[in-house]
Parts: sequence; C-alpha cells; structure tokens
Amino acid sequence: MRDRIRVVPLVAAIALFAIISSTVLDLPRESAGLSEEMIGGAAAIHVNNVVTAVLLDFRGYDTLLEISVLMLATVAVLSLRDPRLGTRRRLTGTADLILRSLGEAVTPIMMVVAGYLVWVGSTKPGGAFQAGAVLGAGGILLALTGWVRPSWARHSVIRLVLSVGLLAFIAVSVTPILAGRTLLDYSDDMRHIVLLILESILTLSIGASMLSLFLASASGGEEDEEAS
Amino acid sequence: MSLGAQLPALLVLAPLAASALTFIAGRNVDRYVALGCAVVNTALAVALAARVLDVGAWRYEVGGWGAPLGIDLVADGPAALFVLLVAVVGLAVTVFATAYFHRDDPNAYGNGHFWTLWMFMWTSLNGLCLTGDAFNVYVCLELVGISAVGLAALKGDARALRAGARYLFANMLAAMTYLLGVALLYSATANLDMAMLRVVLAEGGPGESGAAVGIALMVAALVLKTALVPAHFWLPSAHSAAPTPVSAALSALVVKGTYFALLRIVLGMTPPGFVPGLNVLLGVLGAVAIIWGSIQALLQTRIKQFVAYSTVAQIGYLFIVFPLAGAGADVMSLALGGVLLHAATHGLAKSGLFMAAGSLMDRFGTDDLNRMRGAARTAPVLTMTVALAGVTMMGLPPSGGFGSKFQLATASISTGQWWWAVALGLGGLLAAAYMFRVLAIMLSGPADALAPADAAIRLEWLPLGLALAALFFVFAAPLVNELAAIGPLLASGAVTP
Amino acid sequence: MSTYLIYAVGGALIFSIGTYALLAQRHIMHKVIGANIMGSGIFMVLIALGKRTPDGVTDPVPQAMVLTGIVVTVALTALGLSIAKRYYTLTGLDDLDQDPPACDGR
Repeated sequence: MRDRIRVVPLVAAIALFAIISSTVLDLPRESAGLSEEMIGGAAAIHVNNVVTAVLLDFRGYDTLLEISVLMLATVAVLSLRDPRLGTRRRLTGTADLILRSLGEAVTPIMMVVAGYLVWVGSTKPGGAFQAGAVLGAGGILLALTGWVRPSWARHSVIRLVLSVGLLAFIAVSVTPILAGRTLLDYSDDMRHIVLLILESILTLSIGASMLSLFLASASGGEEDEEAS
Repeated sequence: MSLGAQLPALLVLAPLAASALTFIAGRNVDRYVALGCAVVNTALAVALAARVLDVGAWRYEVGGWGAPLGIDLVADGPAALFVLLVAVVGLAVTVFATAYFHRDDPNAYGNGHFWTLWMFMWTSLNGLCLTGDAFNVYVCLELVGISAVGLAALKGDARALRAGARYLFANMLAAMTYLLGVALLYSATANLDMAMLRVVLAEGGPGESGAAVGIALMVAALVLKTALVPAHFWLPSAHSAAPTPVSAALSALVVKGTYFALLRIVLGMTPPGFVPGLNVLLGVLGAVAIIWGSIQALLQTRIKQFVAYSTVAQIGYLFIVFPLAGAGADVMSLALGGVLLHAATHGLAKSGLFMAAGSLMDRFGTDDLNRMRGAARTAPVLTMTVALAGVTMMGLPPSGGFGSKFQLATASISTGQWWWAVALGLGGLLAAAYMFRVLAIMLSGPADALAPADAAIRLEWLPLGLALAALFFVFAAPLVNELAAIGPLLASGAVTP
Repeated sequence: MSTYLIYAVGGALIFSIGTYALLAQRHIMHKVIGANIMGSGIFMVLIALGKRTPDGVTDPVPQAMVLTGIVVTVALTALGLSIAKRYYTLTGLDDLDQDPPACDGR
C-alpha cells in the first residue's frame, strides 16, 4: 500500500513540470538582471566579492532576518525537546576508537578552516554561514565522541552563545539609526572591521545553532545513549 | 532623518531584540521582557498610524541604497492598520499568556520557550506588513511559518505534534512554491521591489509570461498559508491543538499577516488582469470558503474546532475584494476599506472568542460542546463574550462585521457583480445558525459541573473587552477607510518616496 | 541552445519530483526529504537563470537568494525532523494518516 503510485499528486507534479519548464524556455535568453548595478555598487564600497556585498550590504536586511530564522528554528526545536530526558546523557554509544581519534585530529583543523572562511569572505566565496556550518560539523563530531552533551543548550552560557550573533547584528544595524541614518547604513570608515567582527560572532552563533539542531533530534534515541 | 521616519525599522527591531533577550533572560524574567516589549510595540504602532495619518505614506530605504539595489520598507495606511491590529491583539495575548502559563508549570509548555517563539512571531508579522520587497516577503513568511508551527506544537502531546507536522508540511510546500515563484518573477523582470514591479509589469515585455507564472505560484503559496478553501486542511487541527493564547494569535493574526502579503502582491504589485482569471478565482474560492467553513462550523462538536472552522469561513470574506480590482477608484476604496475593516474586526472578535473558548474548555474540563450546558449561569462573562463575538461574526450592527459586509456588498452591487453580495448574506445567515446553536447549549439547563475560576480575573474580562471592541468597531470605520486610502494599494504605481 | 537551459529544465524536473514526494509519500521522513528535493530543484533553476548575463558574469542576486533559501530549508528540515522524532517516540507512528493510539479520537 505504501509504495502505490498516487494519481492526483502525480498529475500535479507532471503539470508543474510542464508549466515550469515551458516558462523557463520562454524567458528571454539574455538578461543582465541586477548584476551591473550590484557590481558597480560593490566597487563603490570597496567590497571585492559581490555576493558578500549583496548579503551584508544591499540585502543585509534579508540576512538579518535569515539569522533570525536560524535562531528561531533552534528555539523551536529546543521547545520540542522531551523535558523528561536527563541532562547527564552522552552520545557515546557510537564513539569507538577510530571515531574518537578522528575527532581529536580533525576538530582543530575544522576550527582553523572556519576562521579562514570568515576571513576570506570579503574577497572570495565564504563568510559566516559557511564557516558556521564547518564549525557546527566539528561540534557534531565532538558530540558523537561524547565531549558535548545533548542537553548543552540548557546552560545559560550556551544560550548566550546561541543568541549573541543575532544581538550583535541588531546592535550593528541599529547604530546607524542613532546617528540619524537608516537601518544597516554602516559608516564607511569602520565598515570593514565592524563587519569582520560581526561575521566572526555570527559564525559562533551559527555553529552553535547547527549543533543544537542536531543534538535536539539526536537526544531522543535509546540505543545511542548511556548515563555517564 | 527624524525618529518618526525610522518607525518601520523600529517596529521590526524592537520585538526582534526582545526575542533574543527572552531567550537569555531565563524563566523568571522572560515574561516581563515580553510584556515590556508588547507595551513598547503598541506605542510604536500607534505612533506609526498617527504619522501615516499626518504625513501620508513613505518608503524607508534600509541601508540607504534604495530599490532595486536594496530593500525598501513601505509605511502606508493599510500596513499601519495591520501593525496596529497586531499590536492590540498581541498585547492582549501577552497579558493573557502571563496569566495562562502562570497557572501551569512554566516548563510544561515548550520547555519555557513560549515567550521567545511568541516574540519572533510578532517580529515576523510586523516585518511582513511593512516590507515592500517580494523576496523579503519570503524571509518574513518563513519566520511566521516556523514560529507558528513551533507554537502550534507547543503542548508536545501526540495531537499537537500531529497537527504541527501537518502545519509544517503545508508551510514547506508553500515556502518552496513561493521561492520558485519569486525566482521566476525576478528572472523575468530583474526586479524585486513590489512598487517598481507594478510599473515594469504594466509596461509588459518579453518576460511577461514568466512573470505571470511566477505570480501565480506566489499567490498559490500564500493561499495555502492563509488557509483559503480548499487549502484549509491544516488550519482546524493546528489552531485547536495549540494552547489557548497561541490559538488566539494564530487565528486572529497569522492568517491576517499572510493575507496582507497577498493584498500587497495581488492588488499592489500585479496590474489587474495580468494573470488571467486569478482575481475571479480568488473571489470564487472566497465565496466557497464562506459557505463551506460555516457549514463545517455548524457540524463541529468540539469548541476549539468550532471556532477554528468559523475562522475558515471568515477568511473567505477577505477575498471578495480581489474580483472587484480594476473597477473605479471609489469602488475599490469602498471594497478595500471593507476588507481591512473585516480583518481588524475579525482579529479582535476571534482572539476574544478563542480566549473565551479556551477558558470554557479549562473550566468544564472538556472540549465537548454538548457538555457545556448552563454555562450562561455558571460562567456568565465567558458566555457573554461568546455571544458578543457571535454578533460580530454574523455581521449585525453595530459590529465592525456589519460595516465591512455593508461596504463589500455596496461595492459588489455597484460594479454589477451582485452575486458576491449573495455570498455575503448567506454567510451571515449561516454564522447566525452556528452561533445560535452553540449559545442554545450554553443557555440550556441543567448546568454541567465546572471547575471554580482559579485563575486571575483578567482571563475573563480580557476576552470580553476584545469582543466589545469588535462589537462597536463600526464607529472606527471612517478611520479605517481613511487609512485604506493612504498608500500605493489604491493609488497604484507610486514609486517615489 | 544555451547550456543554462539544460540546468534550468533539470531543476524544474527535480522540483516536480520533490513535489510528488511531499504530496504522495506517507512517511514523515520521506515528506521532509521531498521538500529538500524541491529546494534543490529551485536552487538549480535560480543558479542557471542567473547565468544569462550578456558578459558571462553571474548575477549575484539569485546566488544570494539561494543562500537564503538554503538556510530556510535547513531550519524547516530541522524542525520537521525533531517533530517527527518526538511524534515517533510518543506514538510509535511514522506517518500522519493513522490515528495515534493514545490520542482521543482526533
């Protein structure tokens, strides 16, 4: 029963494919989009990587709300955590010798890579989200080897780490208002250093969020866990 | 730049900061952070409405770039009205929640994360009302969706989780559809600002069909999020499985927020007739929703399901404005004023009704309507609230529901589309039927046993206040109509700040 | 025939496959994966259509949209997985069509 083809969704999917592909074929074959304006604007503020300029400058408001989406998802997932689960559990069930040695060897390298990705973000592809993802993956490795407990988000320090990225972003975006400019209108002489610091803080929060998202779902399993 | 001009940004940033602060604050302080934020927000919303009435609509260039390079926020009359509605109902929900979650173990509901989720929802609703950018709408929609799912599943029992999962899948489908739609729209027009797109689309060009498909996908996604029949399947379970303050917020505000994005896209961004048949289809579905939702409400035996189906029906009224688009400016201002009035009235009445329903449920220890006999004698204030909210649902004078239906019917008849007025009338009759059925049970005897009112008295007087506000809301109609006329939804094509 | 069209039409196909999975599959995990497949299709369409510039420089706006879309998809997926996990732990069910045993009727 489970694998039976369902007719209505099938027809809907085929119709969608027909509509979208014909629409795509129908679009003008050449379109500059907004690339000229964006590249010109990025050059004017001395940012070499246009995508970074779009994310942090032109559409920085989207990115502010995007950081909010990530923190919101983390809080929503934490709210779904079974309150009866203890705080002294570890995910050590899977931590054999190889995994542990791998974690010890790879985690420091991942932290360096994360730092590099933040630094390189202003000139090449990179930035807080990529760096945060790498950092989060390193954290997951640590959790699998038993270094980080699934209940870590109950600590107030971790809560602070989870929300400090959003708070820093809010502070950076509100400061121009106090100077009589609009939201997110950074002043030119400080922008590079301010944005670098902001991205570093964001990386921490994003990494912590990724790890929390993983841990909240991982904590429910039975065989993975044993009291320490 | 004056502080007044900064209001659109402050209205998003204030609750956003409160979201992060409630998360850090811990379980004894978070509710006071939220209460403080609710008061500040309401003051900001009043200031926004006052400034819009004073100086007219303005555009706020985030980052100082200006569209199409940057994102512009739009502070106009309809946005100010919705932000004010969110603030008033939000303040009531916040006060109600402080009492509601005080009675129970604060850890029982969502490990104490209610306040953070609720502040995120407030942020996203303000953001959704104020944004002028089609892609920023997407990000705001996801904030609304995720906070709504998190809040709907807050109880964490099997019923809430099942409802939350259904709600989440509806949101996922809508999110992906909207993203594809906005991708096609951008690829066809190289613009994301809704006011500029109005001009670009009206000129036409080689990407016209791509833009039309994109808009159709975006509208489909928003229809799913607004729970217009036949995309309403997720609403009754999600709205009724949630804790009472959440039910009130979901029913009164969340579907209004997504509806407002629909107003911006269909009336503000798309020239009439650009997507063939779209506006008439929305009107027809609205009329079907009025009838179908009312019939379903008539058949429900659980009190929260009953209120949720009444929301399905009341959402339908909001869509009658779309087939009238393209008619003269005077007809449109009448119709737009009508739906805004309806949205505001329904927001007030429905939040009051849901709070009363939830309190009745807690007092009787059951959600079975047939076991709430004699409530009129044992819980008179709550029964009064249900009755007054019912008057608004039926659209009797002097409720705001009367004013809105009157304006919508006049607008329909003056364009020769009298059949919409028939749907409005039928909806009123059916609303009378389902409200009287419930009231008949509550007024009958002998009384069923109920628990004593242990909670603070505000749990009873707060919903009554909301229902009373809705009952006399027709007197606010001139103000609503004045706000409806300020901004690009009526005077289309205005790009300049 | 431009190469970008292959990717754009391919993206449309992937999107449709994901839509079918989200609508037709019963298992909660299959639905979540279906939504992710839809997202991948959209990202492919976006990247492909951003390649239509006359000078060959990719339009940065669709790229930024993809990055935002990825974060939103991560958020939705994480929420979906934790709801699925909690629901499974509570009821032993992995689809939403069956009534949960401990649930009073609905």
